Amino acid sequence: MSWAAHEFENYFIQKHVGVKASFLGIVVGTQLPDLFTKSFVYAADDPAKFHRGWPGVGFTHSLIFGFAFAVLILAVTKSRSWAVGILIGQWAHVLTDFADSAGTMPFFPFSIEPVTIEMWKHAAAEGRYGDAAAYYSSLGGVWDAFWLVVVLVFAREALSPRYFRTTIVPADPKVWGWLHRRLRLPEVGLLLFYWGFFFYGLGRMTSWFLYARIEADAPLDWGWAGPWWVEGNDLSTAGLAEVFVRTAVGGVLFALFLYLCWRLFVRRLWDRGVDPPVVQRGSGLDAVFGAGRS
Amino acid sequence: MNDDPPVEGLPPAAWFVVTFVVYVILGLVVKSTVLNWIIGPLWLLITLFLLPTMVRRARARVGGG
Repeated sequence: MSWAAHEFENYFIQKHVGVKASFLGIVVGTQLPDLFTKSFVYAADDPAKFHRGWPGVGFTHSLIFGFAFAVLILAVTKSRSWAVGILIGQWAHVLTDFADSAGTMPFFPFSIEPVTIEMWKHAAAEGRYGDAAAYYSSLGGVWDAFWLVVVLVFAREALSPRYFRTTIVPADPKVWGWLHRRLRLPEVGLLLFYWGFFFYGLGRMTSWFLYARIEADAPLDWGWAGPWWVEGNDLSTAGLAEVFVRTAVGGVLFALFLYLCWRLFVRRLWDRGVDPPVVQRGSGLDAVFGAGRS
Repeated sequence: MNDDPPVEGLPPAAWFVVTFVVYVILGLVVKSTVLNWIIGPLWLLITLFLLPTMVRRARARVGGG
């Protein structure tokens, strides 16, 4: 699993969707797969299988889960920017978690084959602290640092007060307005809340890294599939070709499923959905990415 | 040129460094209390806005009383 990467990627995504998605929607989306499951993962008999496999709660790390949740939000709130935010946030989480040894099932239920590049070991079997020590002793910690650099290099503007004023609030005026009125938070309070997710990522990355070095005294292993001192958690015995074929079939079926859903009911929900006044959506990818201001 | 009005009440950068160091140290000492999805994202808001606001109000009340 990835740790602080899920906080950093919020800002990178936001920078690329501009006013077309709610930042808080993206945050909910990126946290969604672990939101209902993470507390139970460490107590499970086989944490990796429970977290990412089937049977288990591995479906939370599939693209269909984000799609279903986004459609539900669109149906209930009619907010397009929240639906888009949740969808791309959750999908980003699924893609980010490809990297550990347990992988994710992106096209569940059409394929239950985990997809992984095994950059580091899924170490939930070691308990929360052991997991942290293993993650921040392997390429997992480097993955977090990579996302931090990506934000600072490619999305630094998203951290500026100006961006908050001109993009974050206009993309979601109802919720930020509610926080302002209901909780009596002035602009500085809202801005600190907005920065809070970045701060949390940086803070927990630093704390857990120091914990791994000082308290756990865990040896660093920045080789592929490290750390060596944790047992592997590969959920599949399938060969590369088998994984490729199953995933490709699953992907095609998933795309067909999305198309059918779009034709049958999602398009109707989208058409009756509403956007904040500042948003001007095009069609196709332009509905999600780009400046999109009226 | 940046002609945006400044954010009123925004603490100086040094305070961000201080609260970061405090957070990291507390993270090492009381891990589950601060390194979680509730306290973590709210830490900046709590330490740089809510607490100073409460202290200011308490001081004003004491001074006024």
